[in-house]
Amino acid sequence: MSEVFAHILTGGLPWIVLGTAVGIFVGAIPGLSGAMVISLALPMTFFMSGEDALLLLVSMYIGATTGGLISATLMRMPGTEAAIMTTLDGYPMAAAGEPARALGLGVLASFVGSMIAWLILALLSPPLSLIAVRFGPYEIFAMTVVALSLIATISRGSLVNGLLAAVLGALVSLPGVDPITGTLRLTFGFHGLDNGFALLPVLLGALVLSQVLVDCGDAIRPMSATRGGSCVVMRMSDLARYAWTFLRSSLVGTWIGILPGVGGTTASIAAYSIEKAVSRTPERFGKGAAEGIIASEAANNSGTVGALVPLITLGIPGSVITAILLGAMVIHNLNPGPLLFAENPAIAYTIIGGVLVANVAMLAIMWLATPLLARLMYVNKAYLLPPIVVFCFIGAYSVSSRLFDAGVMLVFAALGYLMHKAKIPTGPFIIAYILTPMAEENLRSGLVIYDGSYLPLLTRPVCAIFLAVAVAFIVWALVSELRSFRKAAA
Amino acid sequence: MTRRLLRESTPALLFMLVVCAVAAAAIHASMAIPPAVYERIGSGAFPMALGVLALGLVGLKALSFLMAGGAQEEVESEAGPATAHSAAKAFGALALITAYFATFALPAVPFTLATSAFTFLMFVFLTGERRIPVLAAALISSVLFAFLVHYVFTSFFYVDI
Repeated sequence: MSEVFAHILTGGLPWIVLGTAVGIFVGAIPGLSGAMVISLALPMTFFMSGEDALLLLVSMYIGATTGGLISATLMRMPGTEAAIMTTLDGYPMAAAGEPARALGLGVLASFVGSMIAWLILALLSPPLSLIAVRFGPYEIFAMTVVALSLIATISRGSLVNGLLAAVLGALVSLPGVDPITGTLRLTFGFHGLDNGFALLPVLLGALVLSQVLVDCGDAIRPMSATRGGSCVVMRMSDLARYAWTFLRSSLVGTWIGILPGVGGTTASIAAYSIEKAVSRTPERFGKGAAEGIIASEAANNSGTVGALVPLITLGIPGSVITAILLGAMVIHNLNPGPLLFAENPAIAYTIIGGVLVANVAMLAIMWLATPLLARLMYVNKAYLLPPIVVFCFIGAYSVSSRLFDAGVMLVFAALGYLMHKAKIPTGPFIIAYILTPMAEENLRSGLVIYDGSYLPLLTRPVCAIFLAVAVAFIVWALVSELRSFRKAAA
Repeated sequence: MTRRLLRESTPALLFMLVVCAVAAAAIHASMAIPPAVYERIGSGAFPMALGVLALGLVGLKALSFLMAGGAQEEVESEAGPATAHSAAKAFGALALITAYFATFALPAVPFTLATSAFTFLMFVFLTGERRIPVLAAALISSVLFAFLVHYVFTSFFYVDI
């Protein structure tokens, strides 16, 4: 443990500061997302150790969530989806002549929320991992089914669209070497597909390059912002004054973050709604209420950290970004999943320690550099998009120095753009693409171990619980879908 | 189905076609895989099951599509609020990016030249800028950027570009 923290505070610190700063910058720019920057940074981590790579990527993840509050507060444009609720009170407070205080409350709430979630992450992960280490192939398969069933919850509003995206993602993950027999399949005699579609070109194409195409098609309009300074004013008295709001929203955010598939946006909406419901003056919400900013920011940041609990203990990615982080672990041969704590405890503790240091770095950067970041937000996207394409090309090409991978990225960029136009979510596609090989390998290994019997999936308690949870998620999604269908028909 | 509805539904129809094509390819290829010998399900089981599921979902989507009269349902997508969007501009950008990638198949074109040209042309394409001083500045920035990227990635990251 002490060695891990010593590494984080020495060799890892520059990566944490860099990752947090880049994450905050990207999060502050509407249209650029944390998933984009993490995907772009992945190939640059090839030359780094697994620990440093994860420190950089996790810091970007935390920074990107927080950065969204700058544009949400100053421009009424949430830089990230999770900052939507911050616009409701952040912008009115800024427009009323208090941008520094609005930003200060947001930064303080982000920090407190992250720290409370970090405490839960640090306390909950080791015992959970002790249980998870006893998992066999069927348990891991059942767990993967839970993660895949979350696609149903991610796709709320259009279950069929989400499932279509997921099935396509799953099919795309299959070509290449069969995980059990070692023979080639679905390559159609094309040697470029012998190793399947590499993770990075698919991620870069479907998430980053497709977004570039969307941005190229969108009208690039000048942005307007509130007047006044954009420095950050934090008052320690606010901590005592709104202590219950900080605590309540952080706990709500962490809990929702731990539930895979729900995410920071839902966390901030839930915390905001609760805060408004318990307030004696709910009419102030939406007009610059401090509690509104605190609830939204504390919840979305704690949700971000909370989402790391299932990722590092069970290997379940509950969102696109955590799925990319899981992919990063696979690329660095870190064996993510229930065995991470047993086989790579240094990695698990590096993530936990890295989150703590990244939170502190986030506080410092937001406090000191917000005036500069607020100016950088107005950078015309026409300056940013061409370099992003160049970095995408280098990222895809660097996988194995083949132009084939750049071509694969281009195909998935076109597919991602088509999905955007067809209003098909890309999240389920990415999650299914990453999880399907894991599900197939473990189901087939389990069948080999149990002489071809499926029965242990129901008789082994952990499997049964996981499958029941998966069924519950699917039923919940189906019921929600039916309700919204009836509402639309009425 | 009116022409406007058909135009609005084109991306969804195209996506369904893509899923159908991939599913059909997966089913066709999985049928060619020999049955498993030492395990209950073999290499072909997952592609077959997923292919059939995909076709079923496409059928379901097509049915709901017809029932809704071709109008697309409102969904929670990651796209965010609707903005003025030009598909022609997006396709133009895709063509430029494809051309940029294609130049790397020609060994005679160095990375720095292709990248300078691409970043400059993409900037002009996106902004529609015509002022000579701005174009000159953009060209110089593009060349500097290309050389800087080449230096960083070949010297520090050992990428053979």
